[in-house]
Amino acid sequence: MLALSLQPEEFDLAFGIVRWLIVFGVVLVVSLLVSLVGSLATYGGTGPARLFSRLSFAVRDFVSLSPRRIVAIGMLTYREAIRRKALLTFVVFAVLFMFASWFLTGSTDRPEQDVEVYVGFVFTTISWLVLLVGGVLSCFGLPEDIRLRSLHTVVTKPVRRNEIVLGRMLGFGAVCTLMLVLMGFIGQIWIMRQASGTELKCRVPIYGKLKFLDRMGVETDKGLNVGDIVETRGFVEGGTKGAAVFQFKLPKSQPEKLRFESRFEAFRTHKGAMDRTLQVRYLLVNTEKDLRVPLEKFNVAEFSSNERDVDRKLTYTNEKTLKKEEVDLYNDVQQDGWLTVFVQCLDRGQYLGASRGDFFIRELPDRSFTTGYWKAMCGVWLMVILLVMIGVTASCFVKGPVACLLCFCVFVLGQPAHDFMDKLVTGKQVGGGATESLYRLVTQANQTASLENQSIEKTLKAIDRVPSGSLWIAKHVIPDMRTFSMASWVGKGLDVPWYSAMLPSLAVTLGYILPCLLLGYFSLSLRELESK
Amino acid sequence: MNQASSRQRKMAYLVGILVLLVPIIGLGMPSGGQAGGGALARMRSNYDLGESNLGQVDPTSATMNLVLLGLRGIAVNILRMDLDYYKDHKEWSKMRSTTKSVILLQPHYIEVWRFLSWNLSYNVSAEWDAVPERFHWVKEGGKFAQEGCERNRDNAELLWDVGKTWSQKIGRSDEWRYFRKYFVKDPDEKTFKGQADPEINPEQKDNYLVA
Repeated sequence: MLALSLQPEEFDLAFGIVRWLIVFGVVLVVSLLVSLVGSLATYGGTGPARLFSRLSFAVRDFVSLSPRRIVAIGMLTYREAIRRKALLTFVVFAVLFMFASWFLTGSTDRPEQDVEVYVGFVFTTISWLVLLVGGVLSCFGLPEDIRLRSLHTVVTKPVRRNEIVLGRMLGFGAVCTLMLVLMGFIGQIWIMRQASGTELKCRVPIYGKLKFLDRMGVETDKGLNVGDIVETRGFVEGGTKGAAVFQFKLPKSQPEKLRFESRFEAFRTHKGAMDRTLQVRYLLVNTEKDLRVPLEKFNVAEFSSNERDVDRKLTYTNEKTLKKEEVDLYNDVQQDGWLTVFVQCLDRGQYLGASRGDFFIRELPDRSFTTGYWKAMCGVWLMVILLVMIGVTASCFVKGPVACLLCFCVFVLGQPAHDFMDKLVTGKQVGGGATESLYRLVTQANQTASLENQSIEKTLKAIDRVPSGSLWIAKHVIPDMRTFSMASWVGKGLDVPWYSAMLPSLAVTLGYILPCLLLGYFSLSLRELESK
Repeated sequence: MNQASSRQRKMAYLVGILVLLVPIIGLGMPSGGQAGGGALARMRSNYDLGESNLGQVDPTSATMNLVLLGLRGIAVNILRMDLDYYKDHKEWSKMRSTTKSVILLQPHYIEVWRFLSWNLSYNVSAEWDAVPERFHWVKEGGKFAQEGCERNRDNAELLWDVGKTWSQKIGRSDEWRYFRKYFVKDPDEKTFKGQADPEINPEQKDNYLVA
């Protein structure tokens, strides 16, 4: 069951690092300028000297970090969290799992589809519970210590403020990790029990590149739109030269057999042959050698799986000479390590929909369900660690409830609102930016149509472009929480891919360590600890 | 300032609680006893307004409504948005389970049953290319409406909807030749072993006789 929403998109690490450097640099420069102006306003001419002396002090603090002290503070934080009965969350967890089968069992009448629902439930429950506990603990930890004055005993010891911040992050992170691991084990056992009788898979896909050929055989980037609201799949017309062209990087091990797995969508413009589904054909193509090797046609199985093994040695009928010929997949068909497969619909007047995630080469053997499950659990763990870092940082400059609110806002902005920000920055938001939307609202103009007065529309768009730079920075400052969601891969019986899922999540969490640490350190250094 | 001691205040609260308990018990005592319960329970029974009078009681549904307190409306709105999202993104299994969740929260809202049943039978089934798959989703919609009938036994509209689904979709749709066969011999051989699905056709009859 691969639905439209699951599409692999490789993460470009170099591009991500460059963006991180730009955003970090801009925020750093702006912060320095603001501090400089602030120091001038407060201390007059001596302000900049004081500021740079403080900065050099900070550099010394960061250079001479002591791992021993950080671990000691981390352990204290861990004990404190356990003493605050953080593990009581397991009671809620247990109750939810005891009664979950009431709400979920047999929800689709198809056991293989129920797995997706079970996996979704386990991951949602675990992430919400651990996020809640991690957020509350990290946001209230430092403010509570300041209120009870227990932090005074720490700061009077030879401990640096950055070590306190890091130690706190480490301690709360450890508590959340413990909870996540325990809940993860229980969740896995629960899924296995609920789905007993259904094979839990973890297939390893090799995805290819996708382009389309139109009905005349001319190359296009997009397929046809048959009226789907979410236009992820492109459609090709049956019985024409139209095709979805997939290009796969072949495994270097050159296995004797390749397993093609696909899940295309059919769209009919007339009833046609109703006793069967649409017919599809794979055509292996080598353009350099003008070689076209058709494989046996098959009937499309929508939203489930079409599997086909392709042997290394292939016998086929040459379309030009009509003679039987034999080719070798690696010696004759592949081109520079790439295999080109045309996917064609054979029914005239009908259409076949394909997206990049719809067709892959399945690496054999499959991995165990446990592997995929714990990879996806790593995504939850990285998200929790990020939230703990943000919570500890926020608690360095505001009180507990405000820090909680801040974390909540970051979380909300990082998930549903990130999509909205993306659209605003790229200009894809229907109805335009803030000014254009306001104009459309007042004049009751349609969101999708152009405004009658073109000059007004151009002016409004120009006004909306002014804050797009700061919005671009805001979009990158607020973490994209969508990257951490990997449960869909597991639910659909697929391995969690490294480049599309694991790497971006890891990069997002790592990217926030330094900014959070710096912000937390300076906030705690400047904070008046006597003020409750 | 109140000059009464702490003990006196507590006694006063206790007396207040006992005094208030008398009308509360009189009004709200549940039915089941020989006296027929409190005034509200008797009225519920007289006017057929109780949960058990409306149809089969689902403990899951009652639990959900109890746990959500006053947030049922918000929860339903979120679920309905999720349902539309899953439908647009063709996530059928999640859409089906969300449909079930919506109904747990609104078990006696007839239009919800009617709309969701129609959605499964008419909209979702049309998304599939294989006729047996379409039949499966027509059944899902019909079974859903049947469940609605059990939970709302005094409602005639839902019964009419069940009949309409079997009549229109099985008997008159483009796929009627296949659907009529499938109605007496389900294409899911593994589950039904060449028989009709007993949930929709327990007596193995023709669809017109069932509708």
